[in-house]
Amino acid sequence: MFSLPGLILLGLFLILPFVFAIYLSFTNQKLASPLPVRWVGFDNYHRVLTDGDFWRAFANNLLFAAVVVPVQTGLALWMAILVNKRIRAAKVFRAIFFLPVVVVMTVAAVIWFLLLDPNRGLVNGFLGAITFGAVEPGWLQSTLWAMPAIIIISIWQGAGFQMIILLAGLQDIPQELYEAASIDGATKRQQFFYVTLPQLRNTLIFVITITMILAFRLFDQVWALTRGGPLNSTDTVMVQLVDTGFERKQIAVASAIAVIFFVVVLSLTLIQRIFLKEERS
Amino acid sequence: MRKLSRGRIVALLGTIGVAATLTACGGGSDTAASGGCDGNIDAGAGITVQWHQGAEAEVKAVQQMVKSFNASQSDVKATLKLVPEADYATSLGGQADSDSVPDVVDTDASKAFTYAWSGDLQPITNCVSDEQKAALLPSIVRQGTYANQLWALGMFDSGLAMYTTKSALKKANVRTPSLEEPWTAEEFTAALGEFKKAGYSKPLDLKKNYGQGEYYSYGFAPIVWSSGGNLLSDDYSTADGELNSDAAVKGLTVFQSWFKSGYVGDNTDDNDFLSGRSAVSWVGHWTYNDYKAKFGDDLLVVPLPDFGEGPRTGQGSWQWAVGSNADADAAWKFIEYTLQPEQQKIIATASGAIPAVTAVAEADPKFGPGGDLELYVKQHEEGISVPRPTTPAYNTVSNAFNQAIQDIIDGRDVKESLDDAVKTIDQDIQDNDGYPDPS
Amino acid sequence: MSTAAEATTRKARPVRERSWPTYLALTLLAVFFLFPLVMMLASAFKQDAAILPDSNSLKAFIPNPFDGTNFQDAADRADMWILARNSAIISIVTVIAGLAVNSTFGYALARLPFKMSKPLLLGVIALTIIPFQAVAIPLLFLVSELGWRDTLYVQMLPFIASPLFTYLFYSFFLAIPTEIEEAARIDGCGPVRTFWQVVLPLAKPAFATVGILQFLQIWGEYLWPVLVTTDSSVRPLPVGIAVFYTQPPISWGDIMAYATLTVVPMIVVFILFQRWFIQSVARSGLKG
Repeated sequence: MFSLPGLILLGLFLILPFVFAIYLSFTNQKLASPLPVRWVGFDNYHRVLTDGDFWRAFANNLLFAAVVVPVQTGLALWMAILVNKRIRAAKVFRAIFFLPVVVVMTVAAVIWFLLLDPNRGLVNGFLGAITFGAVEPGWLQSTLWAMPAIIIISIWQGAGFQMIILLAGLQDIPQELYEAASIDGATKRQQFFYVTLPQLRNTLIFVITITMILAFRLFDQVWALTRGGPLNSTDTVMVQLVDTGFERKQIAVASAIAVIFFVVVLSLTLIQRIFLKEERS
Repeated sequence: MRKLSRGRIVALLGTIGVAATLTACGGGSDTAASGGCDGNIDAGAGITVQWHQGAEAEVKAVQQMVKSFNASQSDVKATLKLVPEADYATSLGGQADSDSVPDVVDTDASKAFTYAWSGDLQPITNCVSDEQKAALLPSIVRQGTYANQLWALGMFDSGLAMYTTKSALKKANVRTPSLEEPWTAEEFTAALGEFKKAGYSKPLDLKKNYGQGEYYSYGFAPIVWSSGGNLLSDDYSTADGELNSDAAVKGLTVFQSWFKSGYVGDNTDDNDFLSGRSAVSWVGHWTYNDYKAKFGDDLLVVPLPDFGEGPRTGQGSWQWAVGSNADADAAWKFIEYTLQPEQQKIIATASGAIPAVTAVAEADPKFGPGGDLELYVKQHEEGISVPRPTTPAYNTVSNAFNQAIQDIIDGRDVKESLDDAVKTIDQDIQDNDGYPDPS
Repeated sequence: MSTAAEATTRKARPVRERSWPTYLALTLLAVFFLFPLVMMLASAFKQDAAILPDSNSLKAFIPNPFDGTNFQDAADRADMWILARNSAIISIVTVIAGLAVNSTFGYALARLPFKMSKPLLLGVIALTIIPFQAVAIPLLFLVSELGWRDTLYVQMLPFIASPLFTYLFYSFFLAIPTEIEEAARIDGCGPVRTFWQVVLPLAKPAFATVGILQFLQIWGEYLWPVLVTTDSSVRPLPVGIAVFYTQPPISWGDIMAYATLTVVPMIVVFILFQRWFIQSVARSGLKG
């Protein structure tokens, strides 16, 4: 009885549409088309899996995850340790680091669009000034720098959130462990590796799992800023999906992408769970 | 909580209905190509008029029009709905999908035909009298026609050419081109070099700041046409051998060379031409007022370069169409109103575009003989301007083509970019059984 | 860094940690996280014509020449007050309903023994993977068939139940000792009263955390409103920014003013509830 409202709503707005998407992926359904709908078997899957653009997008997701998961988690952990110190203004800094999390993506996109403009943006203004004009990347307009730009924006917006979770984990570590370690003559560094990290294990696994799933869902920033360009350098699976479904009106093909995405991320999550088994008391 | 549970019941009931109509979704249940005017306005007709919220002046003019239309008669009451231009296509797609396209809806040129084909619009062929048709610029009628029916009419047409200044030409010692003797592509490329030497840091403004989208298709398809290529074959059945023809590759390679030579500015502040960084601005009619205010009599409007087969340019703009659920007579009454001379003057002033009614256009000194923008009218009258393919496939053609243009700008191999576009387009035409005409 | 740091420790009193490297690091990080927002704020109070010329130097942070009219322009051009009202209604109703639905579901998964409970839990975890974009198209069909376009509730209903938030509640309830509930049961409370009178008061931190997270999610939703609404009388704030994108010359002052007005309520809410929020994360299931 307690689960009924949740089950009904999830069923209606998540499971039913997803089952419908699976059905669509085997048809030739298109948006705004008067043609009769046909069963096409695995044609759409074949089309997606033999499409170079799809694999490019998938590789971009992997690249994004490979950079963002360690870098953002590491940065967030560092920030959490810093604001966890007993110093004045720690709370102020904590609030500042968290602020970008509450910034709506459409807003973050316009701000960074202006900041990253190759010629008139503040970022290149700064880089140019300290390197005397030697380093001024083309950012969102460059095939090489667009993905780093998306990564920076994502970290800017997401690190504060992870920091809060990790901070909560840090505060749960019993102080006695540190005291015992320092009596045993452990240095700060040893304390970090032999007390902090093991104690944070479950929290870190949670953060890494969530960050990885979000990395594969990467969409908002890209859609708002580059739509996958230049030359597919920031294309992602979700951008492909929306582009195929809404811009090209090929919703059957888009549904096939959705199903493939689900299977891939589910497998990755399972693999990760096997390798990083949480310790449950 | 009560409200929530009521919503749930509605939702449950709805699911049963949805399951029964799953295959009918996507507008497939609409009947195509029926309807039109029967000469009677249904009693108490209220219509919704949808306009893309783009240029502010145009929005104000349309608001004014709706108001004065309602005041001028009592048969039809129009209500205006504004939808932001940036999301317009997605929003309209959503409306079509749910069979809720408004009674009078503006659509961007050939993009109308996707919805004509899907049965979300009705033809207005029998709404328009022959005299009314004859009074319009030929390009307006051409742009609204598909499958032997008239589906849409614009209040105005666009004009595409290049702006420069007499003083810039003089400074760089470049000759003044004309429609009879346009710059050739080589001559133009050389001229860009001269402008650069004369101190214009980014001599060519291609409005790169507009970004990938319909403007890239509108603004740069003329290069393909003028080179002797085409976006699609004449029967609209394939892009192969047209868009990726040697001629098209050659023309767009010249286009790419302008970027590689550093002639084209990013125009981030939309100010490259006005501030004197650029000597030439390749853009539509809508910048005329700003440019004129800045340069006055120094301003020149010249045709796009000739890439081998004579100059070509774009045409067509946003146009009114009638939703399939509308009372066509009521909808037409409003469209007809916007084509009256006073309304034509209002919208032409607001948009800077060429009025759809030839007489109104010619009465405007700007567009008349000797006027700054006479070139635009001549281009439309002499067949220099080419409509974007009037086929439901245009949506895909445009997306694929402007993707190719973006890729070419970003430095990708021209032939490869166009081959990719051709593949996308032909796949789409094939997926849609060649887009058979609505019966 | 460590040698420089050691040099200072010699002088420093042993109890206090050396703090200047910490402050330096914190300050640099603060600059990174703050400068985009300061630029937004400064530009919102600046004349349009000055924004781009100033944008590549420190002048970007100074609202000079000062211009307070951007806010009025932004509000007028985008029907901002109506959109803000819509956003507020959509977010608040969704969050309240979401808290009710997801907490009860999470509680059921954690406590109430019934046959399906284990596979159900695995199902919920698997569902967290499905991104909204993947179901947007079928969902669009569904709500279109129901005639729900251009309403406020069509923007709420799909987002109320969430597998992720259900899972968070589940982990939280799992951590509450069962003895408390046992005691309540012995006192004669049924499951409903136990949940309402015993469990709920304990779960305040989880409610705060999930509530804020869900609020952030709904407040920023973009794709769905674009698909299912065209009428500004029901559209939310993030969609309104599209009004400013279209016609160059783009009025950056208006955009930044609109951006500021979209973000500031969130910042105020966050600062007001900051302590509560951060403490609640510590006690909710979020940390895994």
